[in-house]
Amino acid sequence: MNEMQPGRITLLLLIIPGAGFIFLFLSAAILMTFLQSIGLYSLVGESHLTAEYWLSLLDKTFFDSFLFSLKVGVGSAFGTLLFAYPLALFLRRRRFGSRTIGSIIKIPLFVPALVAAFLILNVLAFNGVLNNALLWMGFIDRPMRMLNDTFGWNVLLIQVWKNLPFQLLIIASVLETIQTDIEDAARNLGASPLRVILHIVLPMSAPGILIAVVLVFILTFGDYAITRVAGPVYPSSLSVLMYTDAFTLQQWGIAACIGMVVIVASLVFVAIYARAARAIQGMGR
Amino acid sequence: MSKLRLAGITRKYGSFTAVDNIDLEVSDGEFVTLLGPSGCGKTTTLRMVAGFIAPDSGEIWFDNRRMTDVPPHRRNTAMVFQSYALFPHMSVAENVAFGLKMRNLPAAEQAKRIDEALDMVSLRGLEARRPGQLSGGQQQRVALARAIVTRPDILLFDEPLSNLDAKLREKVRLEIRELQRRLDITTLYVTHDQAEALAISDRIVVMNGGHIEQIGDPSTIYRAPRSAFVADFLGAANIVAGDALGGGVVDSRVGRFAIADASPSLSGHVTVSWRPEDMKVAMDGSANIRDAVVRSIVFRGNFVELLVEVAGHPLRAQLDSDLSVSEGDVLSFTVPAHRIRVVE
Repeated sequence: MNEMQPGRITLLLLIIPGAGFIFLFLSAAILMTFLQSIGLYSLVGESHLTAEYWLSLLDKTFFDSFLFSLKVGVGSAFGTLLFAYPLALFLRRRRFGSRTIGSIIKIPLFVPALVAAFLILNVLAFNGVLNNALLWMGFIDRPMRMLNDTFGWNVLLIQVWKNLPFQLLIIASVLETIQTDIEDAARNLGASPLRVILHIVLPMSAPGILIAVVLVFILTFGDYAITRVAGPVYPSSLSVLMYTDAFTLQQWGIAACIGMVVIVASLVFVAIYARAARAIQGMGR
Repeated sequence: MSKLRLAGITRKYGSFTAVDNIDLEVSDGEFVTLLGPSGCGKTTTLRMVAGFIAPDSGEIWFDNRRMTDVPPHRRNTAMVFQSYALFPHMSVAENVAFGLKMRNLPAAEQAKRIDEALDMVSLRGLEARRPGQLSGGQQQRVALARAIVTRPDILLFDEPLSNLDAKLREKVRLEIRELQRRLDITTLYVTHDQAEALAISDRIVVMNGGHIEQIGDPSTIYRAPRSAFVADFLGAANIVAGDALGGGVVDSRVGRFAIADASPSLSGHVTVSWRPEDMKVAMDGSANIRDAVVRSIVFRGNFVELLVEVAGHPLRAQLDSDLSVSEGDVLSFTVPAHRIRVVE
């Protein structure tokens, strides 16, 4: 026992590189942002406790931005799933060409968001590839306006394009854990291929689906680049609003409030993610 | 229940022929075991009956229904898997109900049948548990209940006992046999364990390299193996080459034997086989085998197992454990004429 005693301090020292990093750059940064949002830590002017930033934040612009970000987050997460899940089911069986499709589909994973936005931009622009193609084929008389629409369809489109391989990888690896014996047992007991998916594959991969959805939500909820390039002029996403408040309007306190909102919303979803991950582990064997 | 008939079933994987032109009939309510070493084609055959694998050629019949191209979910077979393959996200009751749900049975009928099935495998009271909360033996019973509850035409077992410990294995083996007799379901059972096959089957199909070596009831397979492979695979066997001298007498490297079932015209090179327990120590001059040197003795409780050497050829013998022998002893043995078989 005595030999174990000095171990405590040594142990604390040993975890400093890891835990210290998290403390300094995560906990401390979040704390500073929080203090900034209630005026206790100001980059410009005097520091004093105030609710003015929070109160001035709560206007229509903010709510519109919040709803827009929420829409992009939820829409991208489920929109991507709509394509990723059937694709994962298809690629699971080693069919002819499934390897090639699987490889090509991962490319967007390595394209930075801003570049991705520009790529899609060229396709969707007023004089872009798609409009020209449709014109040439005679489907339309004049180019359609597909960019910077107020709903944000093109933002969703780019997010789905960008996040599809990410969700695909997660779902594919979850599907991989379902033993073929279990599906065979279901077929043997009278389940048609569709019912095998509905009663066995879908419920068994549900926690994995949730994880894929939550991760894409977190990635897209705080998006800046894609909304900035392809999003509507109004409303903007929370991150774009935050940038404008901080760097254009020099409203650092309000920017801090927005930062807190993004962090808290993301943490809520991380909590859901953690529960789903636990459920997945509890289900094994 | 149905009669199962396989006609000229063949299945290849690339250049490897897993199952090679197999013919087999299993009668109504019969319990037939496919026995053989791994890679002999027994599991492939079973999976073709279930419909998971399509044969390259040949036909599968249940009674007068041609099943060769029928998908697995319309075959009305029920399989107990080696891994049990229980649905981990469903309770015991839901697992057992699955096949009934897929058949769209009325809820009342489902409930009645589930209770019956759980009673048969003594799992009442565990309906709400998840498979993960059950022991290996209990999971095995759930798999069994899930299979029989659908009243399948053919019940299929793929090495169902190999994940149980030795003691439980013997117990469940008896239970499976009893249940099968009671329900009178045509059964095809796959195992590599010869003791299991001998204990449980009406008939055994010994397979090797995609072929059927021999089909017969357990005692025939054990007592009258047709080939050296069958003799050796079902328990230990002494297999010796020799020359037939006519009149049912064979002169071998280890001694001269009279063979009861050999035809008098038997001649040329032959292989003979007998079981270790058929070797009796010769007290008089009737010995077939002389000057056998004891090389090793293994105490097995109710008997001792001897490895003896005759003219450089090793033989195995089983003797009463109260017989006192030691290594280096020289013994003579008698093998009764009706215990010696001429094998391929």
